Amino acid sequence: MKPSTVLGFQSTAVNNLRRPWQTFKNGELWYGLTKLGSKRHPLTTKQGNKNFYKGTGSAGMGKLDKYGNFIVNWSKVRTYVVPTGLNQTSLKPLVSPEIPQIESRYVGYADGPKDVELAWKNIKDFIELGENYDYKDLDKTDYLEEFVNPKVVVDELPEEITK
Amino acid sequence: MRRFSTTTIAQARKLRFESLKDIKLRAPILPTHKNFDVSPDHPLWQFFPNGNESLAYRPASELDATSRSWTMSELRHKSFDDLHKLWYVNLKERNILAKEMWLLKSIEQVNMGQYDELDAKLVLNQKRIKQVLLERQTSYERVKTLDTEVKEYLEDFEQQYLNANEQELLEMNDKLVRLQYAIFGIQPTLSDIQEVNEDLVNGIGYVGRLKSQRYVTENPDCGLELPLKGIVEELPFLFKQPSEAVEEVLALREQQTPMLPKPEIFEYLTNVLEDLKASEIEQDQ
Amino acid sequence: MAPMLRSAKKMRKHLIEQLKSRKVEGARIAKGFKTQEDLISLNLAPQVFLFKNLFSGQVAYSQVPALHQDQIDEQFTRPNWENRKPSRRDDLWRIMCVANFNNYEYAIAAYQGLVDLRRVRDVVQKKEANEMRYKNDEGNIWYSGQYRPIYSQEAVADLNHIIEEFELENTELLWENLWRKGDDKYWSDLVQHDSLPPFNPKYQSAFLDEIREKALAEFQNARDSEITETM
Repeated sequence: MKPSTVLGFQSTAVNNLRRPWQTFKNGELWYGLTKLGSKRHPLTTKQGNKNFYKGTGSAGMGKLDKYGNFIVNWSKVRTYVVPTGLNQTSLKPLVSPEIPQIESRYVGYADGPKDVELAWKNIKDFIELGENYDYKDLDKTDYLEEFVNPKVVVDELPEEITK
Repeated sequence: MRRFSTTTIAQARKLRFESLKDIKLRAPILPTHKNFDVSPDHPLWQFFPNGNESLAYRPASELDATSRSWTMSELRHKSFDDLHKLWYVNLKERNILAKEMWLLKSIEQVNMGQYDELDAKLVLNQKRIKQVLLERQTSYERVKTLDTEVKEYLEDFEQQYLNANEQELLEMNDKLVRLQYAIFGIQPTLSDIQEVNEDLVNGIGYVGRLKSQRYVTENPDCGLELPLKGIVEELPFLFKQPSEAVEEVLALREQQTPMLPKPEIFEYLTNVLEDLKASEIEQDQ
Repeated sequence: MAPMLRSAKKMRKHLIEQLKSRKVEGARIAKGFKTQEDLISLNLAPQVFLFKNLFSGQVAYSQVPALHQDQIDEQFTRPNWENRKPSRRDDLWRIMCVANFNNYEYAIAAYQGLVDLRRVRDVVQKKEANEMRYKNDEGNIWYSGQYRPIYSQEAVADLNHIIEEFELENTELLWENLWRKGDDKYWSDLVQHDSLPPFNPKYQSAFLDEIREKALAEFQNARDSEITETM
């Protein structure tokens, strides 16, 4: 069937695309379930014509084959890795209010904890000094943890001392 | 011989109610959970705050209102395994809370404020754990881009290693183990090495060259001609003492094994590592 | 929707008429009261089956491992808004307990006794029965939707009543869930308790048929061994 031309002033091309007066060969409506009724609601998966598909946003874990069977793609199926020794840890979800809060300060690093220079410095220190390369006695510094860029310190010093 | 028929037995006793009005009705029998045992170790008890001994839910007064969430500074100090466990500990607590909140929905006059506050703290914990892992990942990815600086550092280290005296050598070897782990990702213990990739190959090459050079400068009469040809000759230096490694290399050279072409290196490495791991397990046994 | 062909409409009408003319009232074997001769000739065991309604919590008794509309008509005589006449829908009636008795006399006596007690609770001693039921704040039988848990508890109490009243020794009660049995202090030596093996509710009728056969076999064995003893 040819689409009817836009004759009226009020009907636009978009309106005409919907053409609820038209049907498929087996009698199914072109658009929607019924010609009547309120159309002011978003469509659900249960509505629309035979070409209307609306997904649910659920994960695509496989494909439908041409016979209609769902073939699971096991590499897409998510698995949750539970740590071993979970029931034997002494780690608790909340921290006691008596424990002092540590203040971290990143001096001279533009990106703070994610800074490249800091990371590279940590690697070099690890190689030189081993696993406790960043050990700081926080009691002495009053729970202030400072990560100072060595370049900054050098620049701050007056010229006579660096010579 | 005939038995007594069952009908005669029945007639001796009453099997019908005579008068319905005179029956004394019995009170309904309530079902009880004591009829079946539930082990105190049943995994479903993990949904309750005190396991076997808890009530259906904790009243708001019993909730922990004073404790605080973990801060970013505290979480940054934790290893990956610890963070993994912390996440699941938080998750379990949230599950317990969710169950209590769901039960309380049917009791209309209960104030959910305390429960929501506690849940918010746990959610904050989980978000912070994710943030820490993200920070570590970004740092790692950014460091991967520092090609020139790493190269310079490796060259400096090489100079230091070759010029170190005997006392310093032990220290330098420890540092070398840490270097190969930090920069090339080669685990210190053989059994931990799972993946064979380009970093591993470069790392083995670097370590092999370093150790063989040092050995040759110390013992010029060993007969080993540098440079080492390919991964087959560099690999022994990774796990063995330099003298043993040199012997192996000389033996290989006598057999005139050709140099391994690049596409076959990964396969060769996986096979050799599997064999080494298997022999280690046999030795342990 | 696609328009239906004329022939399809006619066929549909014909089938609906056929369905309506066949009135489905439940398993025909469950129709009518069964005497001892009936039970033996139909290969039934000396058992009573207690079915609970999943929707309303009411309990129906049967001599046969199935239900018929007649049994529901007989057992739910004075319906009211709290004790409505339940529908015969097969999928709503789940087996609660299977009572295996020593002989057919006891089984028939038990069934008759249970039905009598039901009449007592619904008709003869309505007030007394209602006083014993658990009420909600408004003074009506406690309910959640249309489900009233008190009816199954009453049925268990009635079962206990008849066993002790008629002294039906050597009975075996197979419970779908031992939880329903209640405290052991209510039950005497006359009864052995056990639980039904786990089953798929989809095949309940086949499962109950197996229970019937097992009980029948046990009863035959017991009778044969008695006969050989006395001979």
